[in-house]
Amino acid sequence: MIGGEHAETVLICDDEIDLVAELGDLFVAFGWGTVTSHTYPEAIAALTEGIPVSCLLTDRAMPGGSGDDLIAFALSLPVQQRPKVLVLMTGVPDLRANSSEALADLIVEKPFDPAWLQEQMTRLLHRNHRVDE
Amino acid sequence: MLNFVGPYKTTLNDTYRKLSAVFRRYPPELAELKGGEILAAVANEVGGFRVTLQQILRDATIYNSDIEQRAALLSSTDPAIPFAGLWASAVALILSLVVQVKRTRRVLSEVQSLRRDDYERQRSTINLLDTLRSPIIVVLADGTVAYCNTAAKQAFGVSHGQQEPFALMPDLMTVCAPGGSGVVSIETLTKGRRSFQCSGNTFAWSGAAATLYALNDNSVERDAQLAAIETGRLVVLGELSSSIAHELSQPLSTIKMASLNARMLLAKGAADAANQKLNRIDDQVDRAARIISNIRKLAIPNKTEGIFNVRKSIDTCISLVGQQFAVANLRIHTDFHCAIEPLVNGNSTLFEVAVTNLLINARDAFVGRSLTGGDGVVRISVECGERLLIVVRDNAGGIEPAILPRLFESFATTKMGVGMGLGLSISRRSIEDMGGSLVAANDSEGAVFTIEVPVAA
Repeated sequence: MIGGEHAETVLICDDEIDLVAELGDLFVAFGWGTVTSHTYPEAIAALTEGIPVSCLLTDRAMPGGSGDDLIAFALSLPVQQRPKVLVLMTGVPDLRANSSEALADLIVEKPFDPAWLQEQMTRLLHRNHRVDE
Repeated sequence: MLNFVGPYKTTLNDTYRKLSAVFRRYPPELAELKGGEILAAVANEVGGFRVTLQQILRDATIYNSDIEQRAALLSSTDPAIPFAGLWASAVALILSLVVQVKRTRRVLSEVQSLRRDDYERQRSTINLLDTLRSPIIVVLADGTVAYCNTAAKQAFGVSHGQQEPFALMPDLMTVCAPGGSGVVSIETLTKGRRSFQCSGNTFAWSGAAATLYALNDNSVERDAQLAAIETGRLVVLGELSSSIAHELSQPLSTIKMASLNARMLLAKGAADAANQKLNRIDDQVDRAARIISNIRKLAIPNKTEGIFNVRKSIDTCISLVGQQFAVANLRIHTDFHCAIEPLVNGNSTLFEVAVTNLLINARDAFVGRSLTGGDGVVRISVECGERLLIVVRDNAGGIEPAILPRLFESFATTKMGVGMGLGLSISRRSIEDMGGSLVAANDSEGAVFTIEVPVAA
């Protein structure tokens, strides 16, 4: 699902269908464009189809491929295809969440406040844009 | 018409019939025949009869001669001889009877001796049983107590000749029916409710079919076992904690998003759309409630035993580990070969702890060997028969042969640095507690754990 013409677009990937739907609706309400997927292969397809995605928001634990794998794949893309912000959602309290092993810009534990998440993603987008410039 | 009797009756009657036929046939022709021809015809017919008459005459002569010889022999014999023979026969008969009586007396004596020995042995056995501290009760087929030792009298108040002694301990009859054994909890007269290991065996008591119930108060050992099982339950709960957190975080996250969306929609006046969000919240709350219910079953120990459905218990176990399996990219297949619902008797929580342990173990085997490429599968098959067979089979390569013989020992672990090695030991104890067994083996693909438990009566 792709939102309309927006300044930023987020690719949401989670095997929880209801959660993806609600997150998508929220980001649309926040003025974002959204692309949604429920599996690792669907997200890979979205990233490689040339859809401009500025943020990747993915669940960590998914059957068929983890969020960590998906972020590693995103980082392997050419810079112009690569999302600027990579966010990992997890339902499992994990010591690695704050470790340097994680390649994500941000790791959030479910359940989280979506408004706060949106603010964090916006902040990270601005920071990463500055870094690119 | 003539009718001959005696040894030659057939021949004579036959010849007579033939002659009669000749004379009935010839009269019309006789007038035309000459005398010689008539005689020749008659002679021809009579010829055979003559031969027969001659034979009869010879036989009669021989018979008469034989009778005369016998009469002569008898008249020349001493009349005392037949009496002597008769007397000798009588004496032989009397002697035979005497020998038979003596033999019967000896057999009777042996039987009496054996009976005395048997009685002595029974007395010795009873004396021995009376000194035992374990309650022993012998019950005849009609439900009468044939014997109970002192320990049984003191513990349960049963007595010789009592009818239906199991009114206060019905579990004993169920668990330890003839040929069975297990653990029962019985209210005693002196020490309150105690746990007994019991067994029932059929045998002959004074010639009558009876069942001997032997009980052993294992409350102390049982308490230690329950403490170990309790530890195991907590270990499993700990193992599942991250899975539980993940499971609960999913509906909570959706609820959080949906409630925010509903609030925004209501602010816009989009009541119908907001209502859809509220319905979604409702579904997610139900989902969370189901997860909590499953966790509660494991977290709050169910100390009561009863009949439960193995299919439902296995579903609970799968739901508990489902997320861990999904994360590890593993699948669980179930296969029930049961015409009826698989019901067993025991503590459902302990059974679920045992099966969950096996599933966690399988998951750890896959993860430990980095077999998370999507081909990993754990198959649970249930076969219903006289006993219930639950087989948990994986394709993770199997258990190290060196560890296999002591796999069920406490602190034996295949997962260095992970877990305490209590899981399988406690799983086996939990299953044995239900009167069942848990064994492990390897097949060509991986480990095979087989649980066998009695079907609920």
